[in-house]
Amino acid sequence: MVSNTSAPDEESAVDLTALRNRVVPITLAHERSQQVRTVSEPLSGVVPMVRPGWSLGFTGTGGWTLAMMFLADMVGESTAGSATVAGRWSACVGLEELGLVAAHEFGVPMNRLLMVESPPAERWAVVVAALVEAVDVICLNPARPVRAREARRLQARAREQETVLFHLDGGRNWPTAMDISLVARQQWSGLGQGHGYLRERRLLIESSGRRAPGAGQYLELKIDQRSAHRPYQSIQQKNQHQSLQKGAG
Amino acid sequence: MPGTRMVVVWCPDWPVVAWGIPAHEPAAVVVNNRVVACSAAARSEGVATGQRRREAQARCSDLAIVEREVEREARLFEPVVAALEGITPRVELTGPGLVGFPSRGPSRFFGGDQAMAHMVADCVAPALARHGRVSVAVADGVFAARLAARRCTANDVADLTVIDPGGSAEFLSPLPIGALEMPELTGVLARLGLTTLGRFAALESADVLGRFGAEGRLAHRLARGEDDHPPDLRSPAPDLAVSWVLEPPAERVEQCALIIRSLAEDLHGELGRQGLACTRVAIEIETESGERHMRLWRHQGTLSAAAVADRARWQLDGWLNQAEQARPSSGILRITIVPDEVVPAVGRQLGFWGVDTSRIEDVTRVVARLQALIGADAVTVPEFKGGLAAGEQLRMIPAAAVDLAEERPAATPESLNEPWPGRIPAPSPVRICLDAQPVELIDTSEVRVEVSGRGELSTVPSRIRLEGQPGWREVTGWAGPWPAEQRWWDPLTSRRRARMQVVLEDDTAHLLMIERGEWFIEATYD
Repeated sequence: MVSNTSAPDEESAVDLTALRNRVVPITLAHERSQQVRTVSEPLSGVVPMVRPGWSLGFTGTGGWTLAMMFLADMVGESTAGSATVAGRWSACVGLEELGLVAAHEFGVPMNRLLMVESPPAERWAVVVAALVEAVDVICLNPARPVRAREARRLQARAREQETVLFHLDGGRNWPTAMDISLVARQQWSGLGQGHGYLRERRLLIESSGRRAPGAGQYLELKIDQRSAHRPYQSIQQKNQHQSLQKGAG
Repeated sequence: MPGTRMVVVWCPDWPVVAWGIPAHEPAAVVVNNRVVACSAAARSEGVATGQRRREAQARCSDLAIVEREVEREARLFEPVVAALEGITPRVELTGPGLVGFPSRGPSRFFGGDQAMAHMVADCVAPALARHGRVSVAVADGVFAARLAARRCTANDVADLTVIDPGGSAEFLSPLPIGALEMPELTGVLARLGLTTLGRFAALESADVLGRFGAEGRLAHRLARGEDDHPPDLRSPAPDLAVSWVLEPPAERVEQCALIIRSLAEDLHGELGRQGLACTRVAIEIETESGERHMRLWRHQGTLSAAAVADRARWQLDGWLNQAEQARPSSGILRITIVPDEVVPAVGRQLGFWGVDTSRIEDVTRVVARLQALIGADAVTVPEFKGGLAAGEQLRMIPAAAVDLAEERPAATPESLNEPWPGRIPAPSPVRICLDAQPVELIDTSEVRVEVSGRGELSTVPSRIRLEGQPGWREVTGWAGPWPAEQRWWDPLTSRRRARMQVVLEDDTAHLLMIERGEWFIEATYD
């Protein structure tokens, strides 16, 4: 009976790929992180591409909807080909409030989604760090401020493992600035005075942040979920610096 | 050549019995909305395994439905296995509720098969503590013995069947081909006119192998009452055993989950490199004070890494949750997994397009790690179950309870067969309030808005605020109320509610719910 702590060099068959991976210099990790994930139309109007390791913050009314649209774009069907378990995985930490039916309606694959209960504060960073190794996108909603050291370490880990972090609280509890910060503002239609139901909405999105393609990228989407797979389309897109028209409150 | 003479002890309807439901109460255990086991009372009303939950409820209106809990089944079965260990040391578990051992030694010792079968039944009955029955069968080959045990129809507490040596083929011959439980193969055989095991067994072994491959040959051996694998098995080299010493010793199952998983994967990887697959494993657990707990686990097919890990977890869970005197007195020090019986791996046909499983392996590994870190139920995966409210349409299943590498049909809404009339149409709310927030809803003259028994609003809603807090917000659009009466037939669990969608002046949209005259924000369309 042999304990499985035996040294790895005793393996008879040497897998060349594994060997190559073992000898690549560290600098290549940086090159790897140069790989970008292109964002498809029409969301590319505000965020043309996302690099592994980036943090994206989502705020405003309709912020979570926007996050689900981006999540579906990054891990959804179009990236995997079909509804198999072999595709990109996503995980949500401390997002017990998230309406998964809505996420499903936007195309987030339910068979490649892990929901992790809000871990105790002292284990939060460990849990997220573990997830970084296995999933492609992690949605976060930390209950309390994350310490700067932990955040730095997580970001480095995410870059290395090519994971993207979504902050559904807009990065409120994150010590460093978001790479891209998205502010949404929605306007519903379909609801009258006692008739109809919430049917479609306009979503105005403004992107900012240090990695945003230009100052104040701005996009207006129409979302109508009665229509098929990609239920949203772009109405207009502007690049000039222009803050969103805000209603009362 | 007839198979090894085996004793099989089977506790019928074990998933139901494990829930502590007596046989005279109609009850069914479901997985993914399909019945996997039901009590005798439910069966007499027409409930059968494989039915949909709805179908079963339609047949038997007062049917109690419970979800399957394999851990509980394994835990409660542990005393039965412990009782059998008094008769023979070579007890092989197939799963909770089904256990067997070779009969030769015990049968000689206790004076014949019949006497030994009685002995076994007497021994198991007290361990079952009067709930549930047990049936014992002795036959050549584990397959025949299992079928003989299943054919217990008498209402006795114990049911004994002894099939004479060499009589297994004769016993199996009139049984339907479906008893093989290989639906794809038996479907073809039935279409070829081979409707009984006897007709299939009459074919030439070489022809079956040529036409149906390894799987067909296995089925053919079973139908002839032989052992599922040829007896000339190579005994596995002892160095295939894997073991791990825990430092410090573990007290709980969760602490061992990750190690069990990685041990199982090591074993699986090593077997795979040698072109072998495992059909029976011995799992041995040792504590600090030297207590040992060993079980043999058998599987009809071959055991995957996940299956081995599951069985080790069941065993550990069962031992740690035993009665005081049988429980280990100190922490778990060492876990050893020994591949007790191996066969050449004949492979498994994958889909035409290769599936890249590396990501799934990463995910399963991380899930096991998180379980050890924050608890077994902390990581969940969603499955559709159907329901009215947005929060009720999905159910969260612990990730440990499913095989993430397998397609899960329940993770797509197509798995739901029934529409849910009265559901509020898409879009669904993105944010669901875990605790519904009470709100006040008033009209222009500050009169509270109510919903009548006929489902009509008493007045036009105009302003809203969180209960007891300042800051009225104006309602710019609203629709409803849509009444939802749930489980009206049951006075204990019935709920009368009505829902309403509102858009407020700050462009937020909410789903309101009224119950017993109180308004709540149930969800937000964020």
